[in-house]
Amino acid sequence: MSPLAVSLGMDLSWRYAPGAAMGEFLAGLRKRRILALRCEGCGRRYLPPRPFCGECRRRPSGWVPVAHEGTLEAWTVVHQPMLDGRTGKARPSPYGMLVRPDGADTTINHLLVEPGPVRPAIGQRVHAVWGETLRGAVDDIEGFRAMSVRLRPFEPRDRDAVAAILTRHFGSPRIVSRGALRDGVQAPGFVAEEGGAPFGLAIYVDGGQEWELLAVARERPAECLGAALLDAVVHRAISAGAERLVATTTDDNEPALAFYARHGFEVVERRAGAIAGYRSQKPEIPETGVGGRPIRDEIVLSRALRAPARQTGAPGRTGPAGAPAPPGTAGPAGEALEGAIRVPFRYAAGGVSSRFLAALRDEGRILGARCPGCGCVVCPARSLCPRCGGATAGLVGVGPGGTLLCATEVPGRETFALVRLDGAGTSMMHHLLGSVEEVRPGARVRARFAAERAGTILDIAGFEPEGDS
Amino acid sequence: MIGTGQTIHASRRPDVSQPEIVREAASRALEDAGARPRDLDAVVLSNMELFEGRAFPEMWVGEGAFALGRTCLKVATGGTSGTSACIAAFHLVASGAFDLVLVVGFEKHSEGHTQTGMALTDPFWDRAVASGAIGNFALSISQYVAERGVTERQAALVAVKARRNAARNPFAHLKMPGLTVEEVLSSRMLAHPVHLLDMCPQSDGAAAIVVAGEERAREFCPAPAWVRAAVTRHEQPYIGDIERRLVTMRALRDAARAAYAQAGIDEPLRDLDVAEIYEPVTYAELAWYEALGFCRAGEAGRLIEEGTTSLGGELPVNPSGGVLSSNPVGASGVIRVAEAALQIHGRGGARQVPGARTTLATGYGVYAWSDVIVLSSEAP
Repeated sequence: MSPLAVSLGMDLSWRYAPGAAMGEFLAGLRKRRILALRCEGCGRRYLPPRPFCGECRRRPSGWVPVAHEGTLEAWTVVHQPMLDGRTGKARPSPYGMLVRPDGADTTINHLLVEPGPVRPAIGQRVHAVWGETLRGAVDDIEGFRAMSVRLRPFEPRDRDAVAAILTRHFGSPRIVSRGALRDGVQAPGFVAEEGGAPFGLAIYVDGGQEWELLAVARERPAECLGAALLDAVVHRAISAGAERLVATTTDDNEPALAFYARHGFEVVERRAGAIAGYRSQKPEIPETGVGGRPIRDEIVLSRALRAPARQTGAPGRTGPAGAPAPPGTAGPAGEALEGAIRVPFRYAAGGVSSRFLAALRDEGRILGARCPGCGCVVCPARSLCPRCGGATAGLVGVGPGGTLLCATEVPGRETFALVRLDGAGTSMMHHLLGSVEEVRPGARVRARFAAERAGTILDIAGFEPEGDS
Repeated sequence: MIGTGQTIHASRRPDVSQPEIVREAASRALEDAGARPRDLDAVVLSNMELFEGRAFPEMWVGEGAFALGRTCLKVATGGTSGTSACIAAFHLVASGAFDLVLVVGFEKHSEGHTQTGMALTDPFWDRAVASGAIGNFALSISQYVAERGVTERQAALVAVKARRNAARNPFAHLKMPGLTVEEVLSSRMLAHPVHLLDMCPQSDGAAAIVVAGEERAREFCPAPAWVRAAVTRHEQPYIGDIERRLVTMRALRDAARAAYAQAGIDEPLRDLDVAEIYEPVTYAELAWYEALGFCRAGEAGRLIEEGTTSLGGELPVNPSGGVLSSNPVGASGVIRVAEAALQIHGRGGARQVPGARTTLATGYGVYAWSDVIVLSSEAP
């Protein structure tokens, strides 16, 4: 006899309250805003927001908007059906990805929208694609689409392009900062490229705990690019365990000062008249700079990498303005998400119970399994004795008559009973075919078999009072 | 650890129910330890109930593990459940409150729908957008490959090593003694860059271990595998929050550092004789080499190419064939510890590493848990 199994489908219904942190985030999505939650302890900006900081274990409490653009950290194409965990059904998009939106310190797990002509690659810039109707759920963002710009680490082949960009912005590839002269082409860094041609860069010095940003530059306007290049250096520095990132600029360069201020840098030193001295090291430094202003002082700025300044939000596009409410604020975002998933199961009955089910189906007989250890007859027949824990050995016929031990009724629906079949040492649960008002505990009952039998416990239709029929 | 037992692991075991498959492993472990059911004080179980869709599996299968009338607990920490259950059993015994504890892990993937179970994650972010167990790994792998320069051939070598080792293990599910790198690379792409043969199977199976206090261990076992370190570490839950994932593996690194300090291991490659690590995918094994300190960052590919981790190499990794060859999830961690223990018992048969004295077992539970256990032939 082949072993039997029982196939069952199960509907799992679910309904989850988002809680304070996720609720505020979902409310933001409805307004086409992407909000990160910042930990005031360590400064980490979580996206999606988390109720607890994974670094310092506090409850994050500061909301910051982040950009709708970011940099791809990882991607894959899944060739299996990917199940939507809300419905159990396969999702159409095969592209998974992790993206770090500009202004966030974590990556988000989302879908990559069909890439089209632009092949995804790590470092690819991506932008959010919004759905037409926003309902305050994560798929208000349909996914992220790859843009033509990509950020990647420097490679030796970029040297000429990097030298050209540095020369146009700083007079030559040589960079002077805090009295030190360096060859920018030899420094590590990131380039932004489009069609293989670098057009932007960020270069740095790995100084252990203190990293120095030597230059951020781009050849043409590209939204968010300066911020994205800076972010690339920041996250590399954080990964390496650095605590501070230092940058320098000159007193004429108001756009640079504004850029650094926007990104959490604070002025820590003003080296008055320093540039005159630097001209002996690098004669290419002009007398006047931005807006024709004279270049005199060197400004040193610093940013803590573990705890970014409070105002550090997203650069670039962040959607409509408006101060988000603090977490914990009750509001429409507190609505629960709900759905249902259909899951199939198929359980093996095992050797002994298979024979029990087959006898029900094929012979209309009820079997018990005898335990050689304690003598108990186990019904329904199973391989393990529930009384002594030993293995059963050998089957015997039991019932079909028995004694009703107890019964109950869900009015208008079903009755339930525990019946000890004649010859069995255990009782079995089943339906009572009769009213609990009329059939009392201690009454004699008898199994009625179903007309059509399939090898399940329902091959017994139920137990009816003996004498009825 | 004084005795171990496993079932044959296979894609389907329709011949046994869940309590019965548990009994199969439990009986073998008791027999291996030379103990009787009545010697047991407590039972610790491990299983992913959502995979089989059965509430309270510990209630259903406890009798299969000889739990009637005894302390019976279940431990659930994702893929680490099995190793965590072993650590819990060790804690029970080490507390002095229990002398002999049986750990049993099991899974019958064929009975439910693992993919759906895996999809039932964080409802607000993951359910709508997460790419499943394989996709999630593939994402992390794309970043690991980009940063470390690991090649798909090096990953394929891990698959070849695992399935060839499995051919020496009578309990293993995927035994492929003649598997080649080319076959791995030409197997179906599951999720870029993970091929079918880079990935672990889903198996039906169970595994059990008898854990004993010092006196009883000496009474029952001529060569007990003494627990020298047992460390479990929890990590933040969301994949996007974990800094560079496989590249850093903070929780595993941390757990390994703590375990090595407890066990007095200075150079893992030199000081360990066998490692049974939880590698659900080939690339993960390479990443674990770095996290476990078998090599420096970026050298994992060289380690597999040079055969350092093959049977006969300096540190054989997964002589059993590993998770890549048998994966009943709730049992997989127990199997790691059982295999690390039986190497010290000297009962490894064709997969025995001669003279194994110090062995390592690890567990991996999504990214959220990392377990590291060090066993030794020397009592602490």
